[in-house]
Amino acid sequence: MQNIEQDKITSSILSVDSLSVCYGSRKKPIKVVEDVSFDVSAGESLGIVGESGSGKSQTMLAVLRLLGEGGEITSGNIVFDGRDIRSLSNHAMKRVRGNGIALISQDALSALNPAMKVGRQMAEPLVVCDGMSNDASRRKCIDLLDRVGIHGAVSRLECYPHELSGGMRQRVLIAMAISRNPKVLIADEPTTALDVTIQAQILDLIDDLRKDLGMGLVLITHDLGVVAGIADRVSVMYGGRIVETGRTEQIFDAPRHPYTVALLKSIPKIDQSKSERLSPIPGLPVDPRAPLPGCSFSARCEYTKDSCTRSRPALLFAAADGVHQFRCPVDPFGARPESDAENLSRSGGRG
Amino acid sequence: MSQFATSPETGRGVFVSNLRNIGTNTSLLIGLGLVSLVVISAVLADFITPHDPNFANPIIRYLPPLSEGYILGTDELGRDILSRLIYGARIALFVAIIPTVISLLIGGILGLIAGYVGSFIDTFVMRYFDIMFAFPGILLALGISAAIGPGLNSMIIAMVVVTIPEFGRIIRGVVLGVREELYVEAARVLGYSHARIILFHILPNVVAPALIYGTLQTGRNVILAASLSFLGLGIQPPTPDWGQMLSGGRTSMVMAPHVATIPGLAIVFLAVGFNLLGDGIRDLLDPRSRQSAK
Amino acid sequence: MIPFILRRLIQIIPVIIGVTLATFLLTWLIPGDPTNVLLGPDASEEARERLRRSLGLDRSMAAQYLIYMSNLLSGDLGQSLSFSRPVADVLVSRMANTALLAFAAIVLASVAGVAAGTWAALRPGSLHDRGLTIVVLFLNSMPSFWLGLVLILIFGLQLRLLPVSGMAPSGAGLLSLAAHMILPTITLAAWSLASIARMTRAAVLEVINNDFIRTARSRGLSEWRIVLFHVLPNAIPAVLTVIGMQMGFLFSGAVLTETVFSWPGVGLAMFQAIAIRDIPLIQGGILMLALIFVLINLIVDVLYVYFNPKIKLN
Repeated sequence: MQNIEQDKITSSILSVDSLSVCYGSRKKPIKVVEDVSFDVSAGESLGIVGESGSGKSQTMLAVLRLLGEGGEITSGNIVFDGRDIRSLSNHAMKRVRGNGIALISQDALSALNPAMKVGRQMAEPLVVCDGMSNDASRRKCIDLLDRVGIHGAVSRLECYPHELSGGMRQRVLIAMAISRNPKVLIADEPTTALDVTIQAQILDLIDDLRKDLGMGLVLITHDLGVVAGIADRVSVMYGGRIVETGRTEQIFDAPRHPYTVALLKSIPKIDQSKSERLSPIPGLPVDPRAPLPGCSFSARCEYTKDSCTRSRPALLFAAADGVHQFRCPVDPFGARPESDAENLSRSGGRG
Repeated sequence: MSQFATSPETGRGVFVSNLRNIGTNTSLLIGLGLVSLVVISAVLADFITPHDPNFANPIIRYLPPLSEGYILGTDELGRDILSRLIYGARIALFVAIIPTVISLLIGGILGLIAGYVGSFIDTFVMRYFDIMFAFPGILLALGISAAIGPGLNSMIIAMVVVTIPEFGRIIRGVVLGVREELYVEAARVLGYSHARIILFHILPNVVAPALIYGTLQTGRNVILAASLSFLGLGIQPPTPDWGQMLSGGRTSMVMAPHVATIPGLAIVFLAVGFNLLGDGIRDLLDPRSRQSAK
Repeated sequence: MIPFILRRLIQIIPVIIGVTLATFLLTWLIPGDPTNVLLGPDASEEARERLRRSLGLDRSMAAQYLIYMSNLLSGDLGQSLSFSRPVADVLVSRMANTALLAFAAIVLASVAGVAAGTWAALRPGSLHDRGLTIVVLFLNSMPSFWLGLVLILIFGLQLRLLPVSGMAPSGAGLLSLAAHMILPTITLAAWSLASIARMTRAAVLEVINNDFIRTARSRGLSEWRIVLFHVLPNAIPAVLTVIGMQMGFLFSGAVLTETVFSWPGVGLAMFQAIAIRDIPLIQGGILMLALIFVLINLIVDVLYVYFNPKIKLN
């Protein structure tokens, strides 16, 4: 672990620094991502966790410069492989997409073109962008399908997406993502549309590929349980901001932000007794059209004090290693470390 | 995330927010303005026309527009075009609205029965609609009009026959959709009478589409009626009618193009009005369709 | 695919029978003695009696329909009053001209409509998108015959650029034919162009917000390639339905356009028939155009399935 942290400074392949993203008109901008920073090194995996609307997907779309209609990066830097993403020409950006950074979307059925056979769809950028011959690209596609665990690859090439099962579609999407040897793989909720049994398989597959191919992995999810086994580090997002970031075990064993703690409490555990109830987080996610002046979680947080609602909390260091950071001026879990640990091991710790 | 990006409108009370949008609904306002202007002209025709629409003065044939006393000029018989246009508005509105109302009633009832009762009645009605849809509208209207003989009545009958299936299919679709809704299911389980279910649960859902498609069809009827008149199947001279004025002016296109082009402008004016009004009503009542069915 | 086509063919048989029934019933709408209209007022009582017997007017409706159908199947559509020739002859000899115009118009309407609709949808809310909305509104609110007259006025009478009437004289060459076709084609295509553009815009907008377009972008494909190979193939089925509908309307819309431009097609013949109540010709023309309409819609259905592999063939 220590090694990775040291390498980070030199080998970080994708680094995002105080990124902000706005939607809407200039008169009434809606900030969906605010002051988000993170970095990923080759072979490392970062989990970004947050509920829907927290800005996690928009952050990743900003990295690929694929924000929707009206979306705009208003500040911050994105550096990929030594290049400044924001200043790249459209042409150069096209080469980064797929080739440098690849994306796996959440719903494989809608993420695949329904009117194009799987084989053609997989091969398209190989032929068009990399100049591969049809034969070579076909062989490569068969290899890729084998690699992601699809049997009978040859016949699958002739299928339309709707003719495959959900798990198989997700595998195809993964095969497409790794087809051009990207350095960073962004997986946006890769398992939400799948059955629980298949979810584990797909996560394992993504993790294996990350190790084998030495890619940096950014795993976006709303489910802390998903990142537990895979991510080296975790960033928790709420209301467009990162509220806590740290090594996975730090986040699970010694969370400092009330939102992280609340998220952990809402995960069901197998050994949970019936008398222990899951605690949902009260209230609704923050509406980006009506941002709060202070901490974005203050409206739902049981520890809110006056200071929380007044000014935006700064990132604070939780540990001496400089990795574990959180954004909470009250810091209810830092102040009472003993009772806190007890609390968590009873009701909110790692399952 | 994507939820936010694609539907900033959800969560508001749809109807209330729509009423609030009337002021910004430009389609509705412009459409209402254009149609009202024609309606007012038609109603006040007796008071605002500068001349008798049928008074032919051979001395002043083919006066160009902006002539003194004849702002839009005169036609091949020396009649004042403006006066004829204003009186023509009566016929234009009549032949656009009346067939819509009649065929909406008949088509609506057919669609309602087909959708609500289902089974062989539905099959039968739909077969009938299918056959009617096999004819392009203008063609069948032309045939019916020609067989009965030209005139106002035959034109209206033709237009009604042609547009019944259009409304029937739309209303049937709505009824089929509503019938599956839980509250209708519940009403049936509670043992409410069919009349009550239709009146209180199904009809309210039919009103919006009927209003929207009725208005849009009225716009199409303006053109259909003008087309039949142009082909000589509509109102017979000398009653002032826009389509027939237009076809009368064809022979003098070289020396007096205004005789044919001005009535055409009036037709476009009214059709644009109804089309905008229909779009506006749709935006008002069914904002979801704004993008897909525009 | 083949079984699907066969099944659709079988399905249209009742529709075709219904269409013949409807055209047959047109005679029944004629007020008074139909032979008066069918033969003209000057016909002898003898000829009337012969026609009455051959149409079975003295017999039941069903018998009359059977006679009508058997005549139809042997290619007999009756005698045209205005042309003093068999209706079938008149229609067949003019069908090619109408088809030529209709095909030219549908090609123009489809190409321009799909292009304009796609262009507008790629930048919704932009200036050209709003411009297209207004153009579509006007084209859809404009009687085609009026548009034809205005075009004649501008390009024929004022600028004297293009011929405004009739078809090229025989032997005048393709160039002259093309010149004669320009204005009628535009006139005929206008309404359909607007409808196709509107449908394309809606369909493209629907497709372009799909995740798979983002997938395609995230893989570094160029924008034009995405439009051509990912957006349009998914938008085409919806557009195709409209194009098919329009195609049928174009054949019948020809009645108005051909009248304005004196284009010697089925439509012009029908217009001339209206003036003297030549019902057999009108009846035959309607039947023929309606059958073409049914046939085109069948072809569109087949193409729809071909372009849309997701539809299960059952």
